[in-house]
Amino acid sequence: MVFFYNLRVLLLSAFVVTITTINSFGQNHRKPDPIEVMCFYNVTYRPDSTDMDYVLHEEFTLFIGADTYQSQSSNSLIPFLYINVNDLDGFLSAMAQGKIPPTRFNSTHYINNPKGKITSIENIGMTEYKYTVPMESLQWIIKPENKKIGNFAVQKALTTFGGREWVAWFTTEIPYSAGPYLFHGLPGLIVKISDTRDHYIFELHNISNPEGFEFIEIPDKPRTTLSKAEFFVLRDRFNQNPHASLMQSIEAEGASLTFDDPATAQRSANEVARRRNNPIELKAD
Amino acid sequence: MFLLFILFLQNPLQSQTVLKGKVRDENQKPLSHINILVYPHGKQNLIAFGISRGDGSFEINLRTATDSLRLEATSVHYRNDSLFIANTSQEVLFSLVPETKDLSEFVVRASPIVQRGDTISYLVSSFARVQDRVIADVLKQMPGIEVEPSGRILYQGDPIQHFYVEGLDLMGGRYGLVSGNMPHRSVATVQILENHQPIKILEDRLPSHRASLNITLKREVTTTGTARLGSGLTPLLWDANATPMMFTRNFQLAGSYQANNTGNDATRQLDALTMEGLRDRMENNLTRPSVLGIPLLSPPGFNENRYLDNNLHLLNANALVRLPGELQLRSNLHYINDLRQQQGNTRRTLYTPSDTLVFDEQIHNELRDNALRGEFTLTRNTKNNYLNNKLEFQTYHNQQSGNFTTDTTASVQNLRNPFHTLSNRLNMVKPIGEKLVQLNSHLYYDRSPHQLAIAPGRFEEVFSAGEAYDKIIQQSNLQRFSATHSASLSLGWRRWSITPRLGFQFQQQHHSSNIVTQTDQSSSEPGENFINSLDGLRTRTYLQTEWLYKRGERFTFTADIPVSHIYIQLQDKPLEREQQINRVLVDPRISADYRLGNFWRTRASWSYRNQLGEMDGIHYAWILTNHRNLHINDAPLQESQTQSFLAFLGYRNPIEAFFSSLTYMYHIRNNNLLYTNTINDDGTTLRGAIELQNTARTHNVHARASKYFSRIKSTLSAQGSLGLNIQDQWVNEEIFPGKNHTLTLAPKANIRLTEWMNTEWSAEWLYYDTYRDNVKLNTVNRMKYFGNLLFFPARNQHLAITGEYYQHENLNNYFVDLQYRYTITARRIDVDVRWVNIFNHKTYHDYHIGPYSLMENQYYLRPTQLVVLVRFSF
Repeated sequence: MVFFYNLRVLLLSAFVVTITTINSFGQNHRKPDPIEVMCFYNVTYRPDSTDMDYVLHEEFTLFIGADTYQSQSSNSLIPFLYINVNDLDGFLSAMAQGKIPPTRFNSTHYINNPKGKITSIENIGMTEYKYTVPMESLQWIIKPENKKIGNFAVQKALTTFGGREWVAWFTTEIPYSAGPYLFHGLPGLIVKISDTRDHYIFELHNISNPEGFEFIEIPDKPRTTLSKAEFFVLRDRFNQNPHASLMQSIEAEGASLTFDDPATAQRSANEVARRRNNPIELKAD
Repeated sequence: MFLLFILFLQNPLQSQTVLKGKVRDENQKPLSHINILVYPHGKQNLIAFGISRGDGSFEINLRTATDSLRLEATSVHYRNDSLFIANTSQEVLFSLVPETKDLSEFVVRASPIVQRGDTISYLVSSFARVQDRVIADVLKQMPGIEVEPSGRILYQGDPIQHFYVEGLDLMGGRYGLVSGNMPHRSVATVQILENHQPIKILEDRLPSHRASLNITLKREVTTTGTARLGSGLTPLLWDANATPMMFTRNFQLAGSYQANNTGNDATRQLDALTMEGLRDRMENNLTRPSVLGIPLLSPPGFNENRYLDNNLHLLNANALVRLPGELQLRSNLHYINDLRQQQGNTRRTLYTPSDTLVFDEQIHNELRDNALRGEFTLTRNTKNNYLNNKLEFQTYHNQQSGNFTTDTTASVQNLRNPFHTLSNRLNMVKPIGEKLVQLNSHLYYDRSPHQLAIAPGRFEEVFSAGEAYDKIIQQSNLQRFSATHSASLSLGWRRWSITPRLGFQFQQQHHSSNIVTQTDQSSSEPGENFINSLDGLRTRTYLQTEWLYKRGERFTFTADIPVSHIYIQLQDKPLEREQQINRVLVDPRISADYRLGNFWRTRASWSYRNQLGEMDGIHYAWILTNHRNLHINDAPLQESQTQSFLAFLGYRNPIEAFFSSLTYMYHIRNNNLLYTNTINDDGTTLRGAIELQNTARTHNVHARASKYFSRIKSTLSAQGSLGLNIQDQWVNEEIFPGKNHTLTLAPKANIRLTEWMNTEWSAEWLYYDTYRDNVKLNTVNRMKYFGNLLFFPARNQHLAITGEYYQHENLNNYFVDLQYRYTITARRIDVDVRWVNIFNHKTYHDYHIGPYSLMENQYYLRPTQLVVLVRFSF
């Protein structure tokens, strides 16, 4: 789901398009929701279920607004730090020098946006898709166990989501009904959540006032809308033959791409897809 | 609307309690998003909860054995409120008092895992193990730091932003070269700089949560590097590449030396493919002048390893120096020495109104490049300004020589085409209020004193009354200076966003040329008809404003209405000729994008462009551009107006993995000049221009479709296009409409046969017809077929077999290459075996078509070759 090849030039042109279409920010019809608090979670995860020693780390950022939440990997926000101040050149030069770090989590989730729904925007290859699910899809069971994480008194809750059993520890001391990824709906902030096999572990490490970002809003740009089930079909199909799928979408845009060393490119694309056999959501609920 | 969560706990025999209720504020306004927590009386374990909806209501179902319950309403914006009730179904009302909970309260209580705001230092000697060699090995042992297999370094799960050595960022994003090679024994400490914003002017605007890593050195000087060595047959081949590096506290250097004669044109890596570079080239329009040239064989359109007969040496040095006053100077020097040889035969067929002329030539060219390029970038990065100044020079001492032999004549051409440039570019970002304003300035100077000598002399009727003579020498000297300044910012208003950019460009140049003819004894100058001394001046003031209008996710409208004022003055004093142009030009461009449903997309655009000819194009006296062409342009400056229409219809259905599109383009171009060609019986051409309004039209239809088939894990695709081009031609005193048709078809497949085998196939068929006055001159058919088989027998190996087949008319060309790579993972060594042109195909044929000519080329290729390459670090 991530861009596999080291094609800076191509990425550049893709982002120029993004930047010029997004730079007309603030034009959403829906009133943007001001961010009240930002929460940061470390996520520790095992992307390859055949190699449990292969452990990676990233950070998730959760925006909490008056009415809605937004959650995504911190790395995926970095381009917006440039876009929001219209610094195209700064972005391009950072991009060209490889300073925009990639993320393994190519999705942004908007909770209660639109009302009662979760909107997810996720990339496959270079194409952006949107799917929406009702908020009721996450059902919690409260357990009596409680303990302390840091200085927070937390209580246990269970849910089933994306083909995994999840254990959450939430605190009523922070009465936001939010959490990392698209976890939400407990009567307090989620401090830690992990699946029962510890393939994905999110841990709160910081809470701060908003900085760099002011509002929660879904960037207003053309994208394909699918059902979540359809999206998962696409995702699995992409991983079958990532090289062919990626080339198909590049060529559908009228662009073309040739490789000096096609064997290495395809070998690494297959290898990367093979190593990413354990996504956070194994299936669409 | 936040929903309600129903919880079933404890045993099902207990009766169910339903708590309904409302939450309001003091003014009876309903409150949403309020948590209602349910506890058994006297206990701290939550047993059920609800969250109030948009109308303030909530409903909680619970089963518990306790007699009484404690209900608590919590929210960040209201004071918590508690109620004690009996465990029976009932209605509950909360009335909450506003109270903003101080956020810092939470922040303080959150025990941070990360200690923020400080520089953390790790002492390398206390982490290094016996088996560790380089700093990356030691970084893996340090808490919080990880090194991915790709070499990427993470701190607290986040990739680091910069990798500094003694505070200097020499390699940019390619720091893996440093971390993977630097011996850990030379490193004293590793420092993590948290919340590091590299561009200081953005510090308050763009806070960074990301860390950078800095290495401090033990010793004054540290050296390291990587190398690749290869050798092969036949004849003796070599391919070497070494990248040494050196680090000190205030000066750092990364160099590379590359040499090969295997047909690998390493100079391509030097052409920076950055956005900045592309924009530069487009705006300043400063290409290397090529008034004089020797006819080159057009290279075959395939992998250069098969035909490029080179002998290349390339030296490259990157250095970074820290200067006082927050300044850094980065320099980049390249030295290129290359000798390329081309051999082949050409057959030119020229269709004049009265005749068809055919000429055969054997060509042997030697092209020598000897160039030095340097770039010095000074960066100042402080809180209230960002400055980047780049000074660049290039000096090429290139020479080309060619032997052209026909059945009856032999001709030797020698071209010296040195080229020297000096340029300076300044970029500044300054905050003005909320907006950041960008200022750009570009100064440029170049000089190209070229000389072309042809022996024996050509165009005898012109230069020696039909008598043969020994040698003709054409000299041409072009000097140019330009200055461009521009400023831009972005504005927004309602659904519009506007980006104005204002600029001024000044360009001045001088072009002189002269011809000398030589016989055994004497040399003479044929006079003023062959001497140019042209001064040119061009100014351009422009205002570009891009308007963007968006409505929803479906509709986008953009308009770009650049207005420019152009003044051009050309003057040849000795010839007493001059001309001036003074124009205000508006080049509007509009486009609209509309998406129908999820899968259909339409786009239409129209543009109108005014183009003025290049000043270099005008010369009032004759210039011998090569042994076949004598050229004059005694005409007004070329002015043309082009209108372009585009219509696009696309259908992209990702669910079916089916993408298709249809595009139609139409260009109509009005020109004030028509170029004239007078073809002599010996194949030489006199080229000129006359003032005559003429119109060229181009139609093009392009269609493509592709589909991915899940069952066979394969993509099949095809594209085709149809083109029609009509343009007036002037050949030997006659004007006729030249017309050509093109039809191309290209199917393609990518198939993943098994886990360890991929294959790709494609073909391209081209049909090209040329007409004069609706009479067909000729037709060319060209077929290309391409296929490869890729095997991945193990994770550290692959084998690629590539085959290509070309058919031009009735001539066949086919090639098969083989590549095998083995990676010794533990030692990071790659071994590559490449066998190119296995069937030792010696020549390649192709065709090039002009409006009144047909060129058939036969290019001599490299013989079959086998090369073994090893890549390692030192």
